[in-house]
This record gives sequence, C-alpha cells and structure tokens, in this order.
Amino acid sequence: MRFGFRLSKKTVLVGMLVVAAITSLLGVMVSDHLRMPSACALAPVSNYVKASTSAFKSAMVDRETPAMSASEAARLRREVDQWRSKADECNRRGLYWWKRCRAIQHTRSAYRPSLDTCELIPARVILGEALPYGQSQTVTKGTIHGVKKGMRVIDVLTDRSKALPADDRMRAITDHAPFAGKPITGSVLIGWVEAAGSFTARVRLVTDKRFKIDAWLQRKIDPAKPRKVTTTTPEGLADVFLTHDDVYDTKGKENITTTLSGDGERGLITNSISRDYNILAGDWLWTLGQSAKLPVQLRIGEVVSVALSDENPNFVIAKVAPSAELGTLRDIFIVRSLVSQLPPSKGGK
Amino acid sequence: MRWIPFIILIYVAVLVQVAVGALPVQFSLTGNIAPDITAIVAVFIALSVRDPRDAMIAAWSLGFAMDLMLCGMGGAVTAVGPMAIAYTLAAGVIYRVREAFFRERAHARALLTLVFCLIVHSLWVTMQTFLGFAWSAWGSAIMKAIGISIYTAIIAPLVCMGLQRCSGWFIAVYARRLRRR
Repeated sequence: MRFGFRLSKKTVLVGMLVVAAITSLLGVMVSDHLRMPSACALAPVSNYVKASTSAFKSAMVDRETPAMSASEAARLRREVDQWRSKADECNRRGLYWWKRCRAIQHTRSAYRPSLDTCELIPARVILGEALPYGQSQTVTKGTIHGVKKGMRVIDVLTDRSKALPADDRMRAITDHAPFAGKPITGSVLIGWVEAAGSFTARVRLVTDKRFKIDAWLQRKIDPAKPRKVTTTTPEGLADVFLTHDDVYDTKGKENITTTLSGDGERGLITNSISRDYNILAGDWLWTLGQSAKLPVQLRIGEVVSVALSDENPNFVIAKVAPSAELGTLRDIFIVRSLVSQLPPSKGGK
Repeated sequence: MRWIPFIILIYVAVLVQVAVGALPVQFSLTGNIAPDITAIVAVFIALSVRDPRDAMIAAWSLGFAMDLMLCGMGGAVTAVGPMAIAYTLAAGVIYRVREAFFRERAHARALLTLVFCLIVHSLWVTMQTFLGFAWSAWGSAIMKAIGISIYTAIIAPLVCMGLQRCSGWFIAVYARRLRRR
C-alpha cells in the first residue's frame, strides 16, 4: 500500500514532539484517558510482576519479635486471662444490646432503607508507580464494576479476617466500631479512587501529599503507666491521670479530632493536636465514620513520633505510620457507600 | 532501528521499571528512590545508533511510556508529555557528546547516564511543577531526582552489559567511531 507522500524521520520526530507538547498543555484533561488504556495493556503481565514484588517485599520485612522472659510471659498470661474474663462479660452485655439494636433496626428498615451498610467491591492491585515521585496504585476494577472517583479504598489487614466467609467478612469490615466490642476486624483505610477508567482505576494512597482526612485519636495507655493529660473540668483546666481502664470509660473518650495528611513518602502527619492531650507514640487514629463516602470507623494508622511544633509550641506534630503495609498491597476493597444512594427527602412528618 | 522489536523492548523495559519502582530504597535526604531503567535503555540506544533521529525517536517513545506510568508528583496529578520531551532533548545531547567518550567503557556509560538522568528528571520535575502549580514540592522533588540519577548511573554499566548482548534484535546499523584525520 502506498501513500501519496513519504514521511521523513524528521517529520515524525517533530510530530511526536508536537503531540507531547499538546498533551502536556492539556494536562489532566487527557492524562487519565491515556493512562487507563496503557494500564489495561500492561495488566496481563504486570499482575505477575506485582505479585512477585509484593512477595519479595513481604519476605524482606523484618518481623522479628523481641525475646521475652519467663516471668514476663507468666504476667502476660495472667493479664490475658483477666482480659478474657472481662471480654466475656462485655460480650454478654454486647449480645443483649445487639439484640435490642437488631429489633430497632428491623423496625426502622421496615420503613426506609438501611443507612448502616456499605458494599465492597473486591479489586486487585496490578501496577504501581514507575518511579517513587507519587503514591498511587492501579487496580483491576473500573466504572463497569461500579467504581467511581472519590470512593474510599480499604484493606483487610489480618489473615484471620481474610479467612472469614464472605458474608461475615463484609460484616466485620462494615459494622466495626472501636468501642462496640466487635470481635474481629483488621480493616484499614489505604486511600481513595483518584481516577476510574472502564476496566481499571487508580488509587491514591494515604501517604500521598494530597491525601487529607479528618480523624479521631484513640489513646493506647500502658496499664503500668497512667498518662497525665490536661482536660477541662467544672473547675477549669486541670491535670488528670488516665489509666488503661479510662480509655474505655467516658473520662478517656475525649473527642480528639484532627486532620491527617500524607507526607509524600511512607507515612502521614498531623500538626493540629494540642500538646495538652499528651498524645504519645502508640496511639491510634481512626476515621470519623461520619462521611457519606465512608460511614464506618476504620483504623488509619499508629502514631510513631511526636514533637513540639516550631510554629506554635501549643501544638504537636505527630508522625503516623499507616496500619496497612502499602508496599505489598494485592487484594483490596473499594467501598461503595449506600448512604449516598438514599432517595431525596420529600419533607413533612 | 528495528522498530517492531524495539516496541517489545519498550514493553519489557516498562515492566522491569514498574517492578524496580515498587522496590525503592529510602534515604533521609532524598526520600524513596529507585533506578530509571528506561533511561539506561535510552542512553544505550543514543550511544549505539548511527542516525541521531533514530536515537531521539526511540527516546521519545521510552519517555512517553514513562509518562504513562508516572501518575503523580508532590501530590499533583502529572501531565503526559513532559518526560517524552525531556527524553528526546537529553538523547540529542548524549548523541552530540558521545564522540568525546570511549562509549564502551563502563565509567563512560555511567557518567553519560548520570548526565542524561539529571537533564531528564530536573526538566520533568520543573515542567510538572509549572503545569501542576505544585511549587512547594519542587525542592524535595529535585533532591529525589538527583538521588534517582545517581542510583541509575551506578547500575547503568550492568544493564548496558545485558543490553549489549541482545542489541542485535533492535539496532540494525551500529554507529562507528569517527576517524581522526
């Protein structure tokens, strides 16, 4: 087949540079439309590449546990027995209230759709970033599977949760609240869907600089070391000591909320917590559970270091390590919240 | 250039790049860094082919493939195209200066790869900063670019040795060294 003209290499090169310049100037308007098909083209092979790198990284993670003396082991065993008896008591009480809640929910669901559920779309990570400038992963579910931009993405952290039957796994993930005494869940927030193509979607991880989320802080207090915090009392501000039991009491359930953002590397950071709260390494951060996109409380990460802010010494800068091992992600869940699918209110009683 | 095998080489290079990109090394100064394998391929081709336009077209293709695989910088979504432009320009530079080096030597390949990567990544970071208005991220991204360039230069001789073995598949006519008069 012959064309009426002959393309020289120079013309081809100039044409290529013009195309690159145009796509550069159009920016995000075209970039996602180009990237999604290329991810599909790589998917058949990159799936195995990702599996290999994830397995390699998992093998390289140092999971060595420090040695424990016999007396310490005996003490821990006694503590575990005590906690087990307390847990039994809590479970008995929990069962009573669970039955009451079911009765109320049953009545409520008879009149309107349930607000308390999320659907989970299972997806598999097939591709990461080629160079560590950004923090995103490409997954194998797209708009034809119901994935939309902005949906939150979670991972089930524990093998125990993964081993549950599908229905129980869903319940373990979506019904969990930290103080509700639910037996299992290791589900953690890992990011949100930044762009969705027909067959693939790109997930921006929590460690990315653009990630921002409101979170609440749960203290983890060592039973042997009560923590001194400044709190508001009827007499004004006062220093009080919180013990391990107080964490599960009204005294310890202060509503410490903050805004978390990714640090662009391997963690998250917050600089809006007052030093009076005396947060320490080991405390946990959870999602608020009030967002329409994620109406459940899920663990985000654990505080690893706390330092006074240079700009305002009344606040501290806390570095947070994500609970999920983001480098080895494979099977994840995209949360489709049913809250936003409610029919609009028609008003009146 | 043999373009069909070269397209397969791009596919393989991108897959290898995605694999090594998932295994970064962390330094306090630069953050996470990983080598840029496609840059080494581009340098190898720029050192090996006879026609400069072949080198630049090949570099453009590798750069465009990298553009498709790099989705974010400093919290902003990156545009597709700047890496292709940067690769093309840097390949042109390498082609121009290659006669000044014994290009089969390992240290020459490492040095030229370092130059190539410094040009490409600093240009890319700067262009993405302008296009995405991510001014605050420029400093840290440049440090990362320098780290990536050094890392890439260190492993370049090794990768070039591998490419040398199979270069007959995608390079039709090799460049000859200019004779001194």
